[in-house]
Amino acid sequence: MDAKPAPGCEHAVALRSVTVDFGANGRVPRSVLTGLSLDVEPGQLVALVGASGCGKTTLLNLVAGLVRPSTGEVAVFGQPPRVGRQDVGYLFARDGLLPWRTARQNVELGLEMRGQARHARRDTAASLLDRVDLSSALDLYPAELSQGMRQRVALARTLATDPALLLMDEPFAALDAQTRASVRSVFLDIWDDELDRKTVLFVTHDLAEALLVADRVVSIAGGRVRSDVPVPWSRPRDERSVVGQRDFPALYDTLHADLG
Amino acid sequence: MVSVAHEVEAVDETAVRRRGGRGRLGVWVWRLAVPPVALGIWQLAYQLRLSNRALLPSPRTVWDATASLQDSGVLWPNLASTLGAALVALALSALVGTPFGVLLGMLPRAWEVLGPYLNALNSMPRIALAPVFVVLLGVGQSSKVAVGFSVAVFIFMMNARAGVLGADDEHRRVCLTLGASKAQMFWKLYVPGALPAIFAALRLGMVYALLGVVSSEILASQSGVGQLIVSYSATLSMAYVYALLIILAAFASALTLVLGAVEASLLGWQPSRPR
Repeated sequence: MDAKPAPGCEHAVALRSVTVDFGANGRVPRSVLTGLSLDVEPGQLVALVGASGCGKTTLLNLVAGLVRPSTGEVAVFGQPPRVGRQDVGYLFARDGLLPWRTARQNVELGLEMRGQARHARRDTAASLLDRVDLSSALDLYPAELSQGMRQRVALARTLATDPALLLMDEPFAALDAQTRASVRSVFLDIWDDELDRKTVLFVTHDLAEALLVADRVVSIAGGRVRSDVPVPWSRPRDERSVVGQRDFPALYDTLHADLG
Repeated sequence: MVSVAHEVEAVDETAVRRRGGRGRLGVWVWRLAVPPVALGIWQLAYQLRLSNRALLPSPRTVWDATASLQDSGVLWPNLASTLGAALVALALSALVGTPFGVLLGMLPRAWEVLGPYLNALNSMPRIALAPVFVVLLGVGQSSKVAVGFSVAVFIFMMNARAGVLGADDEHRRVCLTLGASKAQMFWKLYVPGALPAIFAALRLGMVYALLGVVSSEILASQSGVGQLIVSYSATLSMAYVYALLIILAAFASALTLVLGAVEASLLGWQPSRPR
């Protein structure tokens, strides 16, 4: 084996023996991550699965720069993480739309932060809302939209700044089953279509969803990576074809056992 | 297995902004019924001599006093002086108190240091400072404005701060991850987020600015409704005092209605709100 390159040189995301302890104020610190290492190649869609409280979200927050590692190293495209980086987008389980802005103005938010000119912003927002099938809702306020529509606006807002790395924290978990499937397929269509696919870290507690969306499923337990399974199926995928794969039950059961 | 199809999403009817309707008309009918009823009770109390007639003149006497205030040309200059001072005090309070309150909300450390002192200042009866303002600024409009400002500015400060503290964590996280600077957090998140609280402060602030101005006029001034009230009270001409109070109340409620209309147009995004 050759000498190892510096962490994160050719990786989109690189974590090296990362530990995160919570609990200041003199309480006994609680370790959420204990020496976790993970590399993600550019353009890969990696699903992170695990029981609630296993540290999936902490891992995303670490990469987003919202949480600092207690020990270890984190690199995003070779740079240490920082909140609000231009090349990183974050989509949360809750849409977080600003209620005083219309759908379009919400999508424009990140572009405004970047000081983009008004007409360019408006065009980008309109075309993205069109991508998520909401061109009819441009000027509606969040209170006038359904849950599924709101989350699609949030998706458009996150994509508007065209981040190379997309962090998604249970992005569709707050939606009912049917809406979830629909918003997910909107997302997968957009992601599949791109020439230069975004790197995605996709947190979910739903194994079937993980196997549907991901190139690779990483299960986390006890604060570290328990297993790291490549998903062999071709794209585009849909729920029906994935569940019909011969090796689906075996993969599912392996992952399920890893989490148990 | 569920096929991946686009769900039909009807816009939630209950979430759609409600505008007007038959209910509003009914409210106005009842609202307009209140003054005649109140007048009737007043007249009855007068007839039954429930109170000394010098202290409780008849509605008719008060109406005549209003007419004579108007005819003698005393009313408008003084009313303009009082309302003008109150509006200037209100505007200054909003312009100073709101940004200061938003900043205090954004900087918890600054609040930890300054909070106790600001609360102490706020609990001081500022009317007692009126003589100081008169000495400093003269007996004109400025000293009245100063008293009104000293009372109302805290309302804006406290409300704006509360509005910022009430900001949704999710919204804050979204703005941060989108790369918002401190200034962008201020203008794009905290100020619009605090707008409902700021409007509440405007309604309340108007009451307090008026209170400050009139009190200051009662203590020392050359013109204003407070000054008129002092001179009429001195001769126990209560009809005039009541006439002035009613006129003041009428103008204050008219201003509140205007504020409400502005609020409704600015905060149309809110799903529903009590009026």
